[in-house]
Amino acid sequence: MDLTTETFHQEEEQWYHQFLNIHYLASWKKNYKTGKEENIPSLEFTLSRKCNLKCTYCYYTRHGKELYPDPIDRVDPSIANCEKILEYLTREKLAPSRIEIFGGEAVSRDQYKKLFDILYSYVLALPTRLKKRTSTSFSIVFPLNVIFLEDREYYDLLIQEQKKFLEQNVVISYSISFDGKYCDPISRPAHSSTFEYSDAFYSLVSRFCKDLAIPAGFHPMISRDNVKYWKNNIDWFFDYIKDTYSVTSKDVNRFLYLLEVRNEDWSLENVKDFYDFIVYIIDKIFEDPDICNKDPDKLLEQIKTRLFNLSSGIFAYIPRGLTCSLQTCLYVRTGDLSIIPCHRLSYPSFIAGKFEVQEEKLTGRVITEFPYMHLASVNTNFQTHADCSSCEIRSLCPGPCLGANYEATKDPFIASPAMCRMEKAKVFAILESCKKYGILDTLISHLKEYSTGTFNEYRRFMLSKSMQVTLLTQSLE
Amino acid sequence: MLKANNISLNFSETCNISCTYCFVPHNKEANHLNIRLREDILSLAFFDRVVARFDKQEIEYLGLWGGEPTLNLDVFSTILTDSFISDYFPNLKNIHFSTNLSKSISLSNIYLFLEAVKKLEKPLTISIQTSIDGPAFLHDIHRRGSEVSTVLSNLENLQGQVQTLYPFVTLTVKPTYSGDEYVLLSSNSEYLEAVFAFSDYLRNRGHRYGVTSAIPGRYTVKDGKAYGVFTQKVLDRGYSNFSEIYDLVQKLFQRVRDTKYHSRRPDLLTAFSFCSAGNSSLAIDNTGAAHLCQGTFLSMLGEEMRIDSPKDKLEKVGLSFDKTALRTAISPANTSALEEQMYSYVIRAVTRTALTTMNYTKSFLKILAISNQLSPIYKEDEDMLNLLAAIVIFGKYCINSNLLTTGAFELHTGSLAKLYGNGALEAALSHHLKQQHKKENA
Repeated sequence: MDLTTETFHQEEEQWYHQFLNIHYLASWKKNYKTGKEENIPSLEFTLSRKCNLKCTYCYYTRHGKELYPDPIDRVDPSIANCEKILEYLTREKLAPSRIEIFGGEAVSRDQYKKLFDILYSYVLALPTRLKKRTSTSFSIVFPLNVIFLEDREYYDLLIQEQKKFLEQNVVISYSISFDGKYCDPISRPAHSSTFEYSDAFYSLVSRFCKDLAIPAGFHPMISRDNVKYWKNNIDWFFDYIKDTYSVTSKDVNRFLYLLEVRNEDWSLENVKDFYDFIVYIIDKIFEDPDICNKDPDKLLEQIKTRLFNLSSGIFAYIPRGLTCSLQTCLYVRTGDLSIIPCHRLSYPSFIAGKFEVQEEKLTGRVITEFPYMHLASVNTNFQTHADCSSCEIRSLCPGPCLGANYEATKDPFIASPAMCRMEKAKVFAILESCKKYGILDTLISHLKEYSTGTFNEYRRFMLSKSMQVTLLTQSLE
Repeated sequence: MLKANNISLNFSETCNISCTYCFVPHNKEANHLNIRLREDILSLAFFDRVVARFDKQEIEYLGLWGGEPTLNLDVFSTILTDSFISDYFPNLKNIHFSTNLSKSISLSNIYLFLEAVKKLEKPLTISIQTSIDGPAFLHDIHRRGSEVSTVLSNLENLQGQVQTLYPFVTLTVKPTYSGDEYVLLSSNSEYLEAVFAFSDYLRNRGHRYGVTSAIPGRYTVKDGKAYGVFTQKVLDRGYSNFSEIYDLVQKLFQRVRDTKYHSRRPDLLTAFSFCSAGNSSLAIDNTGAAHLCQGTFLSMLGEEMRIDSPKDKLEKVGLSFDKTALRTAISPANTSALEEQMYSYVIRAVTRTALTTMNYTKSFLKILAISNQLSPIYKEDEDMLNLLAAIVIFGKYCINSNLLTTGAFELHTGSLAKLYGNGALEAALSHHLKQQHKKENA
C-alpha cells in the first residue's frame, strides 16, 4: 500500500507494512503461487477468552480483562472478523502454512458450524497444489478441551467436519487439552457445577479419538498445582493412549506433548516435584521393554526425539530467537481485528495495529497503534535478554515466554527467577539422568551437530563439575 | 537503606508554562498536589521520607525537579538552615535545578533561596540551568507561556546578582529543539543567522548554548533530512555547539579509544549513556518511593522504574531471587535483604538491556532502511548501520521515554534514528574525521 509519509504516524504505518510484508505476506504469497515453500509462518485467530473451564494456571483466568477486554470479547462478531480475514487471504492469494483457532473455548455448536463453513470456503478457493492431505502442508489446528463432547451434535460435527475437509485433502488437527485423570480435577475445574471429570468422560474422549479420521494429540500442562500428581498421571496417560489408539508404549511419544506452565508461582517444593517427575519419566521409559528395554542408546534416541517435548529445548536449533511459535506465526485477536505479538502479550501497549475495514472488507491497511513490541518480539533472541545472556543453561533452555515474563516482571524481556529455576530443574534432571545411564558424553557429541557455534560453551558447561545440580540443590537449601 | 551520591527530588507538582515537548502532565489535580507538597517541605515530612530511604551520609548532590522547582523554593528557603543541613544532608556539596525563569516569581524565589544558602555555615555550590530555546520565533512558540525577552532579562538580572553577591552559583543555559526548529533553520538562512547571533550573544555573556534534541520526539524523515542539512551548515560555520550528533560521535569515538570497549559489551551503556539514572543518581517521589530517575515521578506507567514496588511484585520477583543471581547483581552495600533484592533487580534489568536493545535496534534500522526512511547508505553499509544503532542506543537512551512510548524500556520508537540517519550522522562523522585528520597532520 502506498502511503504518503509526512507524519510520524504515517511513517510508522509504512515501515510496519514493510515489516509485515517481509515477515509474513511475501512468503504467504509465494506459498500460494508455488505450494512448495518451506518455513512459512502460520496464522492464528484468537477468537475469544470465554471458556467453559477456569484452569488455575490460565493467563486468561488471571489477566483476561486486560488481554481480551469485555467489549470486544464477543464470539459472533469475532467469527465474522475471521471471515473477513479469510476473504482477504483469498482475494490477495495468500496462503499461510496453517491456520490455528485459539481461545478460550466458549463456542457453541452453531458458532463452530459457522467457523467450519467459512474455513471450508477458504479451503475450496485454495489451489489444489497446496492441499496435500498432511499436517505439514496447509492444515487447520483446533485445540479442544472436549468438555462439550457429551453433546452428541457437537461430537458429530467435529467428526464430520474433519472428514469433510479431508475430502478436500486438508487436515484438521484436533489437539486435546486435558491434564489427565489425576490432574484435571485440581488444575482444570469447569465453570459448570454439573460437569465432573469421571471415567465415563475419559471413555467418551477416547471413543471420540477413535472415531476421528486423523488421530488427535494430547497436550496436558504440568503446573505448580498438579505437578505432584504427575507420576501417577503419566502412567495413566500411557495406558490411556495405548488403549485409545491400540499402540505400544513406544508410540506414546507421538501423541503426547507435555508442556510446563510458565507462571511465576512455582515454589521450591514444586520445582523439586518437577525434577523428580522428569527423573521418574526417564526411568520409566528406560525400563519399559517396548521403548528402551534398559538400552542406554535407545534412551538417547528418546531424548533426541524430544521426550514428550521435555527435551525439545536442548535440541532446539541454535542460534535461536524464541522456541515458541511467536516468531513463526501472525496472531490476530479477531474480536477487534488487532494484530498482537501473541495471545499472551495482547496488553493495550503492545497492540501493534488494527486491520482497516471498509464496506465489510479488509482494505489491506493496518492502522498502527504500538507496533514496537511486535517488531521486537519477532526479532528477539532470548540469549540477548538481561538475565538469559549470562545464564548457565542458556544454550539448553527452551527460553522464556514473553507474556509470562511480563506477568511476573512487567517486562517481556526479563524472566522471573522462579520460572528460570523451574527450567533449570528440567535441564538438570535430564542431564543427571543421562549421567546416571552413562550417555552424557554421547549426548554431548550429538549436541555438537546442533550447536556448531557454541559447542565449546556446551562442553564447558556439561563437563563442569559445578553443573552437577549444585545450583539447584543450593537453591533448594 | 539505599545509597546514592546524587538524589533527584520531585520538588514541584506543577509548572507555570506548558512546553509542547514536555512529558509532565498539566491538570488541576497537580495544583492541589503541590499545595500538599509545600506543606510537607515546610513540616520537613518531605525530607524525612528522603532520609528514611537513603543513607544521608552518602548524599552529596541534590537535584530539584518538577514541574517548575523554583515555585517551591520560597518555602524551602524558610527551613534551609545549618541544623537542617546537618540533620538531613550532612555531606551535601551541591544543589542543582533547572528553571524556565519565565516569571518574576521564579527570580524572587531563587533570591530567597540563595540568601538562605549564603547564610549557611557550610559552603554549598548551586547550579542553575535556565531553559532558553533561542530567539522568540523558536522559544515563544514551543515554550508556551514563556517569552524569551523576559527570560533573558531575568537571566541578566540573576547573572548580575550572582557576580556580585552569590559567587557559589554556576549558571548554564539549555536550549531544546524538536523537529520543527530543524526544518525551519535548515531552509531559512536568515533564521539560522539569527540563532547564531543569539548563540554569540549568550556566549559573550559566558553561557554555552548547546542544543539538545527533545526525546523521544516524533521525528519524521523530513525532520531528519532537515537535521542533516542543518548539521552540515552549523559544522561548516564552526557552530558545533548546535550539533548534538557531532557531540555524540566525538564521545563515542573517545569512549572506544579510551576504553577499548567492544560494542557488544553491555556496560558500554552505562559508560557512554548521557543518563546517570541508577548509576550515580537515584530519585525519590513524594510518596517516599524510590525511582531510577525523576522521569517516572508523574507517569502512570513506570512501575518498573520504581525501586519500591508493591508487595506482590516483590513476592514475584524479589523473594524468588536465587543466590547466583544475587551474587552477580550490582547492589549497594548495607541495604536490607529485601531492598537489596529489589534494587539489584531494577538496576540489573536496566543495565543489562543493552544487548536486547541492540538486537531490536538493528532489526528496526534495517526495516527503516528498506522502507526508505533512512539514507541509502544504511542499506548498503553494515558498519554505518551499526554506528547509527550505537549512537541511537548509547548516546541518547532514555528508559523512561521508551517506556512511555513503546510500553517497554528496552524499545524506542525509532524517532531518533530517523533524525540522525538522514544525513546528520554522515555529516557529523565526516566532520569528525576531517578534524582528526587535521590534528594528525598538525
